[in-house]
Amino acid sequence: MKDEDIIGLFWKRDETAISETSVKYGPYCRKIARNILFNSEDEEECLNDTWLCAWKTIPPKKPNRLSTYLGKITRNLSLNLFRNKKAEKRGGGQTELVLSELSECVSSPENVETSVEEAELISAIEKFLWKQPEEKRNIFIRRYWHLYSVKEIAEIYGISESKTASVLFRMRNELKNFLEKEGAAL
Amino acid sequence: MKNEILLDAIGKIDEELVFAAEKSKRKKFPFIKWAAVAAIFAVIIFGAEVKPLEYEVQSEIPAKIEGFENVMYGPILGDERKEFGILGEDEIGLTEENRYEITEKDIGEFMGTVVEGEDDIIGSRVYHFTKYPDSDKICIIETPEGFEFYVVYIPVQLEIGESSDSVFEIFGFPESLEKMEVRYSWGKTVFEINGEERERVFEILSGKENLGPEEESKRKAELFFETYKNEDYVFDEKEGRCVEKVKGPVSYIDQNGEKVSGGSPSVLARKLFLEKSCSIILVSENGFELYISYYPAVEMFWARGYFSLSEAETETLNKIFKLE
Repeated sequence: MKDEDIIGLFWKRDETAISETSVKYGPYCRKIARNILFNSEDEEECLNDTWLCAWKTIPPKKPNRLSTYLGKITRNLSLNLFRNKKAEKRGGGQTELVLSELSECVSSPENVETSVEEAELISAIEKFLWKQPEEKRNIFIRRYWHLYSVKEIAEIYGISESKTASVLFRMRNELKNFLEKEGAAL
Repeated sequence: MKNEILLDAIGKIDEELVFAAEKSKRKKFPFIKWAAVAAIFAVIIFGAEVKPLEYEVQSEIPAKIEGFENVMYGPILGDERKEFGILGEDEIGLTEENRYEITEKDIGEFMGTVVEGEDDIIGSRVYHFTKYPDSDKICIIETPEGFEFYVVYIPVQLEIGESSDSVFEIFGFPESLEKMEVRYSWGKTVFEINGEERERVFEILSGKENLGPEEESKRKAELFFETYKNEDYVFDEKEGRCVEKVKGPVSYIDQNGEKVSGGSPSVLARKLFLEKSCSIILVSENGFELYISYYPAVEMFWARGYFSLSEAETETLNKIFKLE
């Protein structure tokens, strides 16, 4: 079913919207949840919550890209769940690794205070990404938006794991410098 | 934790960026030098049907071409592909079907050889792209892995005291000035400037002295002080840059008596500095582009150096750039 038809079902308050969404975007959203949580029960919980959230928000929303809209909801729900259950210290997911890598982009990761507005930060990150060569930009997004493992990214782009890690390392340094230059450093 | 704030912020970036990343995939194929060479001979000797020679590859070290010593060439990027019509306007990402295949018909006149760059491309032959035979902005380099599009960039940074004319000379302006565009935000062309207005803009930007980045920082701090009447954001002579005297969220009353809040003094200073700013793009006959950033709030512009403008000049430029 086409995205606009699924959105149409949501707008008509037809509950088949949820099953159609689940059929079409279940695997996509599950992959994002898995990258973050690596626990099938939690993944299931996040997926159900994703469909519910979509049901509650469409309408009034009419997403341009249903996939990314749903992916974003799954990502947020999964990260929240990850934080809530962090104490359990389950291994396997990419979240701890990604957070540890992102610590390199901030001035003092242990300090909870921040002097930059979120909107400014998002805008600076977007500006930074648009300035990057396409492939590097995509590698960065795959790692820090979708939380793909370095190995998976290397396979997608047909490059070695060490090259992928090296690209990400350089980009984290560049991002840190860029945020400082833009007055958006954390 | 700040890293979590950053992870959350990344989660809120433009959906187009995310969608493009999801669609992107590098084509998997082995690069075989001799296969590419053989393909060329097949075309030349046997008049064979034109077939793809090779796909583009990415390189990180820019190349310098004999005869073009003032400029560097780097591998083409996605948006530049759109500019040269080798990627459809609506296409997103370099998926397999989106990759432009350079064929024999794309190889134009010989431009020179690579004299600097990645080891394996030094000595490589460089050609014009037949679609743009007069443009030196784009070229095709015959790398060991195949033919790649490269696009020019000009790594000039002026010394303090140097004239803005120095940078214009490198581009051959004003004689070679073909087009002048104004963009209000990244990547979005708003309008062109022509005729007398173009001459007037060029006249104003010429003959200025590079005052260096410290001058820009000083003006930013002055603007902050004039607006908010406090010294939470000042120029530090020792550091040679602006520093915050107060950390964290701030709230001030501006000149109009309105309350303004921000994440930090530097965030508010940046907003003031960027007010009504825009980019001016000067394009030469051979396709080279010079980007100029115009900052009317501090009466300055940046063109590989930091230049000051008078109040009258700023007023004139604001009018021409429709910033009033």
